[in-house]
Amino acid sequence: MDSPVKPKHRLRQWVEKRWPVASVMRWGTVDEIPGGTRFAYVLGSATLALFAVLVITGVWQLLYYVPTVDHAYDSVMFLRLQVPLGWLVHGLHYWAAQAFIVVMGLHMARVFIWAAYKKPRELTWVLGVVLLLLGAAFIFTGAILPWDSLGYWAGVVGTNMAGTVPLIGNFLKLLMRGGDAMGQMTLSRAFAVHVAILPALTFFFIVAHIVAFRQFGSVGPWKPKKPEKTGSFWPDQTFKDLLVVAVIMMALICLSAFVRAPISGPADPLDNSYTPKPEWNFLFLYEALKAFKGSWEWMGTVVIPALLVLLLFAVPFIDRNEKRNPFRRPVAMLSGCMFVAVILVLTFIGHYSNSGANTPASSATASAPINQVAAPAASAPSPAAPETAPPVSTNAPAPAATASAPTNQVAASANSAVSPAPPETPPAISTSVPAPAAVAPAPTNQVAAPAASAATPTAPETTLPVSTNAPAPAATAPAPANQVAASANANPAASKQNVIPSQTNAVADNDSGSTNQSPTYLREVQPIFAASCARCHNPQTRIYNWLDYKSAFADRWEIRRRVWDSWKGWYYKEAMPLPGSPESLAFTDAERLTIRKWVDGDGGAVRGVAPAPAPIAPEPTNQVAGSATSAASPAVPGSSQPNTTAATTDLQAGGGLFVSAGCVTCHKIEGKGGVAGPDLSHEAKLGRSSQWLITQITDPRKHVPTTIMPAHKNLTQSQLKGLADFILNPSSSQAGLGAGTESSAKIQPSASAAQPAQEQQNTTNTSPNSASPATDAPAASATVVKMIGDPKHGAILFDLDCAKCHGKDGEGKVANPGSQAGVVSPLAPISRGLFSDDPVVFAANIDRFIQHGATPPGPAPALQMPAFGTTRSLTVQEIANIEAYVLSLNGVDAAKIIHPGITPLRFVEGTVALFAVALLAIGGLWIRSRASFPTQTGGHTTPEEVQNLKHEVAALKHKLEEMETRNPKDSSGSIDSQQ
Amino acid sequence: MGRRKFLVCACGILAAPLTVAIGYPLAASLVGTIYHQSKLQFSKTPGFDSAPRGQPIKLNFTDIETDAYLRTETSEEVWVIKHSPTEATVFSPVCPHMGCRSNWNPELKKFICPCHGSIFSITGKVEGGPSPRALDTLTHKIENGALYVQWERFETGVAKKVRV
Ligand code: FES
Repeated sequence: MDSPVKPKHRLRQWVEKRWPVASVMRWGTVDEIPGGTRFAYVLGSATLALFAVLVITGVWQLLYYVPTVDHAYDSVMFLRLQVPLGWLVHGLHYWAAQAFIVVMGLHMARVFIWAAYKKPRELTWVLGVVLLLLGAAFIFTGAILPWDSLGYWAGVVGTNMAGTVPLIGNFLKLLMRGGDAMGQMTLSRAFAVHVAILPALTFFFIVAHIVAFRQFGSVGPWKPKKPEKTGSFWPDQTFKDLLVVAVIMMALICLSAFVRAPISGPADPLDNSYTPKPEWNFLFLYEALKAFKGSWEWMGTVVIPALLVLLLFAVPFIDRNEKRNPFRRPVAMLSGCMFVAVILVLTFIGHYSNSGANTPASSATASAPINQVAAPAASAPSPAAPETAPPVSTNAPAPAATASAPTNQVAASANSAVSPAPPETPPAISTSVPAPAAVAPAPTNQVAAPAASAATPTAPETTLPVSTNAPAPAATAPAPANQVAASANANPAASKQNVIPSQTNAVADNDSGSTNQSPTYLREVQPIFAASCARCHNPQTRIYNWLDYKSAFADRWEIRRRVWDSWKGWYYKEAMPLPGSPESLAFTDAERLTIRKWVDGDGGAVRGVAPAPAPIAPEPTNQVAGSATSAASPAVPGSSQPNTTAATTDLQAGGGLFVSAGCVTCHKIEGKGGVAGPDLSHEAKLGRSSQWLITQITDPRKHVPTTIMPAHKNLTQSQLKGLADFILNPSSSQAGLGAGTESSAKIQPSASAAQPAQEQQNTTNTSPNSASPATDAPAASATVVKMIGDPKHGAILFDLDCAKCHGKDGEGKVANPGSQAGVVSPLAPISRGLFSDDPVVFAANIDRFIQHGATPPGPAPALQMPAFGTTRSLTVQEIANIEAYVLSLNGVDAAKIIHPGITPLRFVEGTVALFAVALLAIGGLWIRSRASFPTQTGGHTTPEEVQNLKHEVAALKHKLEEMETRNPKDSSGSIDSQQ
Repeated sequence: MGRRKFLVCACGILAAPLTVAIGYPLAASLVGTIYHQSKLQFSKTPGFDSAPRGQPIKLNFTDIETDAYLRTETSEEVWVIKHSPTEATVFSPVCPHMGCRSNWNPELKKFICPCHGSIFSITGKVEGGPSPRALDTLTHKIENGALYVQWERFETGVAKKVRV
């Protein structure tokens, strides 16, 4: 006891007495492997090692990743491009995940061939299958997280598959999405499941799997004769494991360095040129589903996967004989091979098939009225869902529908009404269709029409059932978003609002039914705050922030006193805005009156009403709700009966119709009107015929399959003719447009005043979609420029939108008569003035043109660059993708790694060198020491060695026990003193 | 050296590069970004070339603030007094009192804050009102006749000019 004890041993003893380190270590390392170690046995350890890599790299990604729809993509791109070696962390996670599934499959195959699942190891197999399923869940949820197109649509397809489960399908889908549309809730759920729930479950099952495995140890070779030799796990098998793991890691590093983990452009629900496909792991399933159509679809989405899983679980219980030699159990081996072959073949078919977009089968189903796909409103739960790109709802053409004519019609007709939805699909489902924004302009367009029509006495639609109603609220809405909001409730019974045309403000009856509608007073008063007050009353000053509606509301009495009473001399405090200040010069009496009325307003203001959403906000739910309601509302103008008395074909009627049919809400004409659609004032210059325009109105997808313009199918031929004439020659029909211009002129001041408010919202939300083109007109949109698009997807969009003028791949020299150059400028190679090595600068250079359009120099250029951004014909994400493509045409990589840390090539070289040195060292060691290796056992651990190990453990235990009994109170050093 | 010992050594030798290959990227990505400073940017301020001399003029520009992957774009205004095509004074319009935006009053030739009536001379000196310090100047540079301003905000209500 007095003998000196080394501190190291002391510590070991101290711990050993409290936690059985040695026993656990021995349990983990001492394992007899009958028949000796083999490389075939490394697969389990390799899977475990890969899981470890996944956990570590996964945790590391959490340092940068945020699970929000507006920043998830940016944060992943930040990790990939800006964080030193972030590309590797991200790449390793992606490739390790792929390898995880592959190695797991090989491991299962190995176990199957060795028949290692047989009694008493059934449970080991079952636990392994559970791990495989967890792996699949990992892949599915992980793909969603970057919130790029790839992940977004994979999520859409996956949740739609769940939606086809009989009875509870819709519930399941909603549960997975956390709501009716893919959105923030979906991402949060995927995130929580991926980083918390699944890892916890996987840890548990891995431990259970290993415990089950160690209970009976390795199964050994299948040869019936007694295994003549024994291997040991440590260090024999461990060395082989490590060798293989090193090889796998090297492969993963090379893959990460040379094949970037796929990421497509940012998720864009509005973009329907994207053809969704699941991850490769699920392709076989996806392909199998195609065999089942119509009401049999649940067979494919539920029964087949369930059967597959059951079959896997049941393997050890079906195949119960004692034989283990694969050549002695032909039935099992054959069926196993069949199983693998079917999955491989289906995966390959799935890989090379065009996700159903162009297959005849899908267009056939789409055009068949009995099929549910025919009604895109109900497409989500429909049978062929995954194949025909179900997510897109009524207003947007399904991606699958982009190509073929029959689908066009279907998609178009779905615009006007939800009614064609099949009976077995409850209408409520239409709101659950994910195409979130469901193309906001469409509802605006349609519902704004009654409002306008009421203001146009000559318009044919005055015979609408609604016509007895006062002018609809949308007429004075300052921002398109408000119109959408209003439209949601614009059903005749509920709408009690009226407009007082003589006053600049409209005080709305605060009708009790409008719960989700922004009250009129807010709409009226907010622009004033934004234009005149926010210069000081903003979140950055220390005085009250009136951009926050709540606080403005709380201060409303004081605001009224200062803004109205003080100015009239009725109040002792200083007038606001200070007399003589620029604000006071811009402040009209009418605005003061508005503020006064806001405070005295009949209904009073509702507390805590948030500011109206920015126009075409990306929040999917609002808009879907809006569009669904408006589509279902009977007031849709298109569906009204054409009035025969007003059906004249002259320009005047066309002009009136342009207003009343709602064209004006989206299209600029003569510089007036909305911004959602392209400027139509120079249609004649573009050389378009009236027939072309009529087709564009009735079936816009014939010209541009991806257009967001709704089809206006219920106009008569003469009305169409009038419209087309008007569009081709708008100036000669000023009278016809009179009513329209008047109303839009009225909208103008408040609309322009509303601009700063939106701008503020943009800066605070920084939502990618709400970039307001009017505010950054001269410059490139920073949002787009810094958004890293996907060139592959950009190529598709380029073909649709740009190639007809810029030529295929941007190379063509398309004639442009009347311009100085005579041809449209090619994009590959692009003019030197626009080119730059820096992707951000390059993108900024071309972004200006794509956003705001351009007119080439020359007397009368026939072709002009349209303003895709300003007119919202393309979404921000789409523009980013196109820019990435144009960059790639000029050899610039939009997703250039900015801070690689070490360049990928260097890193690979370094790692290879390290491994080479390690292998050389091992080789040298082997040459030096092999002489002393026992030869008779063929290089395997001898049974004696294993016995020795066992004795060691036993001895240790024994010593500990002895020590306990001898000196229960103080036993420090007892072991060492004995030694 | 016995066979077992050799294998144990070999395992160790093999584990070393594996650890490095995984550990290095982890360490680098953990440490790598901490020294990337969010440096203040110079924003191009259009309208300088046509600005009158010796007289404050309000110029607008877009300031982009970058915090990792978050970018906020704000439209800011500054008071610019052009002395010569290569010389100028740039005042932040933010009143040092409570942060309102001061205006140039051309008749009085003073900057006047609309909120509590602080008055500043053309050089920014306080001539009246509650402002605790002179108008804040902003760092700027002039290149090829274009003005670039570095947008900053300073603590309000205190006598010292402190960046916030
Ligand atoms: S904020 Fe300028 S004087 Fe008070």
